[in-house]
Amino acid sequence: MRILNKIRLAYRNLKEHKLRSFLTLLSIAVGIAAIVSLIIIGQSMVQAVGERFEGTVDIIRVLPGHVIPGRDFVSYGSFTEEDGEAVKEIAGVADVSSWMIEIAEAGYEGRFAPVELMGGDPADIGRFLGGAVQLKEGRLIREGATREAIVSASTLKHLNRWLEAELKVGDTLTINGVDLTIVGIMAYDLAALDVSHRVLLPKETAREITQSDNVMLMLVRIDDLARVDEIEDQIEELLDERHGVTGLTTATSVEGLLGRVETVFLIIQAFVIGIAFIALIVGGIGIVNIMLISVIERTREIGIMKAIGATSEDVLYLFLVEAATISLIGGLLGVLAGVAISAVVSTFISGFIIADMPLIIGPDVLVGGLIIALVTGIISGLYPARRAAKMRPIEALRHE
Amino acid sequence: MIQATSITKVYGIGTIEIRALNGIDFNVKQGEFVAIQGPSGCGKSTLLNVLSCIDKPTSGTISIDSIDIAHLSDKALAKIRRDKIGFIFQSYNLIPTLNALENVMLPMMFAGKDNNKTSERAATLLEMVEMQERMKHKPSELSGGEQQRVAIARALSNDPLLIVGDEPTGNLDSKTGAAVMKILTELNREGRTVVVVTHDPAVAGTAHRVLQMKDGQFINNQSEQEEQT
Ligand SMILES: Nc1ncnc2c1ncn2[C@@H]1O[C@H](COP(=O)(O)OP(=O)(O)OP(=O)(O)O)[C@@H](O)[C@H]1O
Ligand SMILES: [Mg+2]
Repeated sequence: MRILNKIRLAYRNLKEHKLRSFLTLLSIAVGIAAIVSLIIIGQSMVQAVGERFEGTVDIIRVLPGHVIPGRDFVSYGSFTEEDGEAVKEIAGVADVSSWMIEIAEAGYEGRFAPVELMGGDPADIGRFLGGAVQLKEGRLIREGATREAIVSASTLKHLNRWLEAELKVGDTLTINGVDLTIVGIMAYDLAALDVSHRVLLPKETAREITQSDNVMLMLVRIDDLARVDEIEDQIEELLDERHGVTGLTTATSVEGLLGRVETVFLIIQAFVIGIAFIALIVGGIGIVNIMLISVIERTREIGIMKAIGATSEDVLYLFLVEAATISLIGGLLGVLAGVAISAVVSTFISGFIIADMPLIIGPDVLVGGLIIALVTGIISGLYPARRAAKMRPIEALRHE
Repeated sequence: MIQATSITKVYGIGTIEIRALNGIDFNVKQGEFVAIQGPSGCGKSTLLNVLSCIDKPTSGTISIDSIDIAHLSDKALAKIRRDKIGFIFQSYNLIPTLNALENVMLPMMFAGKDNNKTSERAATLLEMVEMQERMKHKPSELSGGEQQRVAIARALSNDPLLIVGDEPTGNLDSKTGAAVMKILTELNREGRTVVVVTHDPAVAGTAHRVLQMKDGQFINNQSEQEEQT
């Protein structure tokens, strides 16, 4: 029998039991929706985070103190420019950029807001912060400029709330009495560097404002990614030694961070996809159940079809196509729902976790969802279909 | 067309043995119209089922259109039912989820025939049984006589040489039944072999032979039957 006719007959039967068919395909749809949305969101997050870190994978971030992950930073003092020179001597280190980080007070029309200043060589912004610095508006700080600053969109929001202002590119902010023009707004926080709510400005200006030249952050570019862990250790040892401490200097690479982020995603994904697969198995058992009932109910019909010339194979495929049709419709609904769910969830993520996360909806996910649904349906339909196929025509015909 | 020799069909329920067919011989020539009559339970349906490859005999040999069916696989038997035999049931046995046209198309679908041609042929057949107005109707929307006419069209769809009817008029009133019998008679005139079980006394006039059955055997084999064996 031609496949189109099988689908036609299967469709007729499904239509005959609309509610039953719908409930069955719903369970498949739920499983597929869960899998599809999780994969879309997972891929989008990994991609978005990856983009933010772009150009910074070969950067090691060094802090003068001990970091208790996710909680606190206890410093033992600060680095000096000489420390930077010493680090540069380590084999595998290509370049070092030192940054000041100081608390200051930003003022605007009589109101004040606390800010953290991040002072560095303007040329280093592009070279060391990489993809983390994506300008939404304006431009980077010009080389040689001293009265310019850039902030992230979220820092600007924070400032505007404190200052009850509507600062934008070109406006002037007074920090500890020094006027600075905001020349650019970054789309994202410097998440890659664990830096947020900060004002980026030239190091000279930072020194002038804070009357200090404490280097609180060193960004080290390496030219041998394979040795990143080894170089990290060497940097930590060297700086510990120079400052007379042990095990306190913290050097972390974006590469390691990225790896950890991905690991966390994978664990979450594996967990939730596991649950989704349980939903699919439940859906599959639902199909087995419904199909078995259907086979028994239609025993006489099977007898008729066999009596007028259907082979066992014809009957087998008829029921398999029916199972496949239910699961494929379920899969289609599931994929659509999955995309819709990802769209909704991504607006939350864009609002709270990763700014402006674009959704990545690859054809592989959509097609994959349909294939998983189809395979579930066919596997579940196999046993009932075989039972139908094995019926003897005369006995099936006698069935009332 | 049919050569059946020493057919027995034994049903065993527990220790009791029921011999539904008791060493029956049955030959039907190409183009013949044979009617079978007999009391309830004498084995008429069993005989037709065995001849139509729907059921297997306990012993004996059967050949249909010169094909010995004793050693055929289930699949080959299905193909004989599909291509060589058109079976008409007493209770019509249309597929309830399909409309008249699709019911008639079904055996052609099983034969894997081209879709456009099958629906064309099904329509022609329905026209022949005067059901062209009701092609899109489901069996539940048709009267018994109408359903039986659709069933006849279905039996004809793969153009079989042999039409087998098990009390095709049994559920119909005499007027509708007569119309159905008229169609069968016409099919026989076109050259098809027809074997029907019927209680209708009028059929005796149309059929070439009327065979009487009792306890799994024929009781008054007619001269033609004797000539053949
Ligand atoms: N599956 C079965 N199991 C046991 N006995 C059966 C079975 N099918 C038929 N029989 C018996 O075989 C005998 C012949 O049955 P069959 O249906 O051929 O009779 P029939 O002549 O067609 O009767 P009717 O005119 O009532 O249709 C009956 O005694 C019946 O009880
Ligand atoms: Mg009978």
